[in-house]
Amino acid sequence: MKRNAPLFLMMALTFWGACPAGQNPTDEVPSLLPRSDINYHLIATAIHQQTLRVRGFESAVPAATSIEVRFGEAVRGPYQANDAGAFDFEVADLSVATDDQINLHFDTGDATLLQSFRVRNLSEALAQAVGPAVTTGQMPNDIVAGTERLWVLSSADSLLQSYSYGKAATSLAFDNDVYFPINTSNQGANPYQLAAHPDGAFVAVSLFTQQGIALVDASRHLEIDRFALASLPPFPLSTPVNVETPIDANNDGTLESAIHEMIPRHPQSMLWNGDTLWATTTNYLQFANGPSIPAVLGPGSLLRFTLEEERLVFQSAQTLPCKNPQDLKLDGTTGTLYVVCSGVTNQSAEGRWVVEEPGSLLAVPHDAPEQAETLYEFQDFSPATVTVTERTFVLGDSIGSRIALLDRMQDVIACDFVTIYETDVVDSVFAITRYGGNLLMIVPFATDRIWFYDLEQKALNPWPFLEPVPLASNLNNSLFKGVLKIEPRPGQPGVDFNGYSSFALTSLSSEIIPLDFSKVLGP
Amino acid sequence: MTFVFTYASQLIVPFFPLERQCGRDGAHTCRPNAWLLVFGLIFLSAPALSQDRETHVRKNKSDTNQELISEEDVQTARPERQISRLRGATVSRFGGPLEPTQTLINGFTGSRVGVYWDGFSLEDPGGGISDLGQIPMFAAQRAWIDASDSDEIGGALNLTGAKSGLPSLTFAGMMGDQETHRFQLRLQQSLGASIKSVTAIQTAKTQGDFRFKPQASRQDLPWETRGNNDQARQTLLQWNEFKSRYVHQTLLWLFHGHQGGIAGFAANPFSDLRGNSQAWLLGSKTKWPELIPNLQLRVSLRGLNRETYQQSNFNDVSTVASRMTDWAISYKKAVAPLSLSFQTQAQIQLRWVNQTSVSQRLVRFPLSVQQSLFSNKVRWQVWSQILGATDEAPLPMAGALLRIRPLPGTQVKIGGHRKYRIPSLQELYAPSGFVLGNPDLRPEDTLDFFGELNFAKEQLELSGSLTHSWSEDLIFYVNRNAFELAPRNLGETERWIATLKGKYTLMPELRLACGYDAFLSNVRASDAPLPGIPPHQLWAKLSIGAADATRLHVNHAFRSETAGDLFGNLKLAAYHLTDLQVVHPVQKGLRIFLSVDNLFNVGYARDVYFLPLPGRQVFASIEVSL
Repeated sequence: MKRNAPLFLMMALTFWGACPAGQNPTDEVPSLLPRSDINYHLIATAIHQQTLRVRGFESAVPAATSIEVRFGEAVRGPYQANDAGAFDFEVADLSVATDDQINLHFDTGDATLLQSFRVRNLSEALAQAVGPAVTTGQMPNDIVAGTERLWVLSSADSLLQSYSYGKAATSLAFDNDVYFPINTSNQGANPYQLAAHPDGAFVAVSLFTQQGIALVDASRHLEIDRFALASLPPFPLSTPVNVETPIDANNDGTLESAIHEMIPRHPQSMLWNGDTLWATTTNYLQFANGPSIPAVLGPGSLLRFTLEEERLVFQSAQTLPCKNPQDLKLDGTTGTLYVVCSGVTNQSAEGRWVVEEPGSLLAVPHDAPEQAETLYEFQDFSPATVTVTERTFVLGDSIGSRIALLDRMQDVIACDFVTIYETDVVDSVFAITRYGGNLLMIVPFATDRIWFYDLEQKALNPWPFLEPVPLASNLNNSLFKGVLKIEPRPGQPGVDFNGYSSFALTSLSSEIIPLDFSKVLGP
Repeated sequence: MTFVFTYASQLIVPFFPLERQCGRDGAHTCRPNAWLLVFGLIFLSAPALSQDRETHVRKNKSDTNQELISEEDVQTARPERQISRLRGATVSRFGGPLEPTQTLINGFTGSRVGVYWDGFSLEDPGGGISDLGQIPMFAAQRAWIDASDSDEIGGALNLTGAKSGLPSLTFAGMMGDQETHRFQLRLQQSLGASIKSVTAIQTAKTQGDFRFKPQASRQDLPWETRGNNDQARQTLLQWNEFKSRYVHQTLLWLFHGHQGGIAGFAANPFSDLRGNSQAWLLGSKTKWPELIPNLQLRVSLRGLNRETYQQSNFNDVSTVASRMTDWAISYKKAVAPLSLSFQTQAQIQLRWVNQTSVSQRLVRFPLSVQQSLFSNKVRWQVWSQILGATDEAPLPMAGALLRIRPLPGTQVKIGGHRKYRIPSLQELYAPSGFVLGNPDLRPEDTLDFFGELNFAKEQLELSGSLTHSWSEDLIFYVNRNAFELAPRNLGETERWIATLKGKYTLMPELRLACGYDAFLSNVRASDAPLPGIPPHQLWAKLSIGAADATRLHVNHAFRSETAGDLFGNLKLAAYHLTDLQVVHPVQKGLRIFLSVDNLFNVGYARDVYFLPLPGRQVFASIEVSL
């Protein structure tokens, strides 16, 4: 760190010269910030109750960093960050700031850095954080952001669409699309989720209805391979299940009402780990249609493929100890896969959604998938998604406006539930995204609003987010767009790129809503 | 949990406006206003509302928003096409021949609009759309729409059957692409001077799996075939009229059966979803000209059964059966010295859905008065109506119309009305899977002002209209959450509708007709237009050849880019479709028809819900008349 100190100083001076006090930087696309130990995008500076408030969320700065507020000869501070790198202080003397700018001096012990920050009018800044929506195809289901390209799956249009943006992304430009045609059995592909290969050359797409996984050449926008799940051998069900409408679950050419064995069906979530593709299948045997026709599923499957000469080569299939896998994440440091199963939920005769078979969180060693371990089983909570931080698993509920927090540092995992907002109507939390550090963005499906959650403080809407950030100000009368996912751009906002830092995908209004929280946080 | 449920729900009821409402402050404005009650009691209601629709059209042949059901259109695969030639009407298809076709009038559909045959309502008692495919177009004589002439907030499509006393027998057969076959038989009889009878039978089927382009913007993509698209329809119409000195009695029996695959889209997990439906109407009209002059009793019983199931499981059938009885008694009184006429038609309807314990009773009490002045050059009419429904306070509706004929062949109409629509049973109560009812819905409230200009001189007919409408509490199906849809009052909606229509007969062998409709709307809740309604649509028909010789008909239709969802984001691409038809009389009583639909093989056309329309199709028909 010490050897980088001259570089920090030089870059800080450069930035200082580029953005002198008194200049309004909001009218410009700012230059990229110097790479340092400072996570600028986790620092907020704004007027708060007649004082200047400066707040850094966890990991904003290295532990015990000393911070001073400087203006000309005037100095306030120093203020000290805690061991988690968070700080929060107020300066009553507003003379240290111009109307819209403050200078903060950071001393990490290893290096010093002087950086100017805008002093925000929070209501204006929050309104500017939400960019103009871009229409996708019908019923978009998944979104993945690369360094300069955004991939969107539109399930009803059966399209994989790509949009490009530069490093200073302030607009999205449609590139091209890949169409997955109807098959000879009159089935649309229903592309469901996608996974972009780490080198950006390929995209894998799960085709929910056509029971396959497509491999797309990203540069040519061309499907180059497809793996049909029908080619897999059937696996036995430990407990046979019955369905109302007979199906050919084991692909033997006959329809069965009592299912004793089945091949994996209805693929959904996927991820790449190098050239290995992991995919889960939900194994739906019957879709629900109201209280009289409940959903029937077999246990979920975890499939492993390798990429060989532009083909997906099947390696193994593992039956999971849970039903309806919905999300798949990888902890790169431990090589552990985390699988979220939502279990089976159905509508009761009274119209309430109830858990009939529990959902769970599984840990699956990357190199030994047969050793899947159930970390936690949920009784009154149907997990739909998981976000993995260094210390916590954060899961969203598909039948409640709640999240579950599992402390992964404990030997016996305990669970805390946090209600995002109180409602009498069923809502779901499909979108949980890590903004940075332990600051999360959470969007209940039926709200079109982002709740920020500070995992460190266990606080909803921590300052400067005093209330949920609305994503759709034009809608009223409880109409909502239905946010499925918020996808962050890879990299550090302000340092690796400027402009939009994440993208909300709405399923009902078929839109990408770009988000730029540099309007609220950071220099 | 998967989002498939959301898709499935939207498949069943895509984002489409259904209906209903009351005032901004529903609790207040839904109560009857005292002045309107007084108004209603003083004046007697408009013929528009109280008069029998069949009688109305016979007496108003100067109304230019009418179409004779032409023989050449009847012998195409889509005879309902000519409904779109009525001003303000849009016909939206779900696919190819024999597939369901919905009517949109002034931007509304479902139970916001009415469909009537000889004055009898063909509505779905539960509240679903009226499928034009159910209507025996081959037995129809005339169709018309008059915005001021309906109880429904969107207007009504009226059809009358052919019923002259001349005996005739007509047989027609059609066959063509997608293994489409259709047979029609129409028998007109006159049994003595007092009894007339019309029998009409049609049966048709199509294998139906047509080809289409998957995207309008990607010409490079290969065409696809839409499967599970076979359709079959059977229609029976029996009309009898008995006239004696003391009794005039009309009986109507109408039955329609439909079986077919249900259209899906790419995300549809139920690719083999199928449906059966049976709809029937038994109607009676009675007059006692000697005993009680000017009094008429009309009674009808309407039934509709709908079944849906997956092809692989005939045992798991979801059935909805709805019924409606309708009793109406009308009375008309003319006061000759003042050229005044008073009319009323008290009506009571009972609707119910068999699978639920709920029902709905609707009561209408209209009163109207009209007066003709200056040798019928000026006519004014005002009407009011009290609309009552189960669990609703009576709703006062009212309207006024002024018609002026300043010059021969010229007619100007201006008027306005306020109407309500009671939520349908389906919207209120009937859950279907994840599509829920909402018992808290308020009535829809619509206020319209319109003007119309008609001009006819020798070979030229021109007409145009302009309507401005405000609606409150329109009902839309929207997501309650990720898994369930439910109807909800979404608030204010504004509509502007401008229509133009012209017919020009250059010579007997060359005739041109064309029309243009502009439709602008804004749903305040979403700040977007009403979905599925083209902002601009144009049609033209050119006929070349003498009536008794070989004739060529060229039909062209254009629809502009159209919002496809409630949010106004998704767009149905603009399209042009051109149809050709040759009619050749072989000899007296024998004609053959050759139709080429979608001549230029446009494969990306979509009307509603992004469901594809077929590419080029060829059909041949033969008609024998005795």
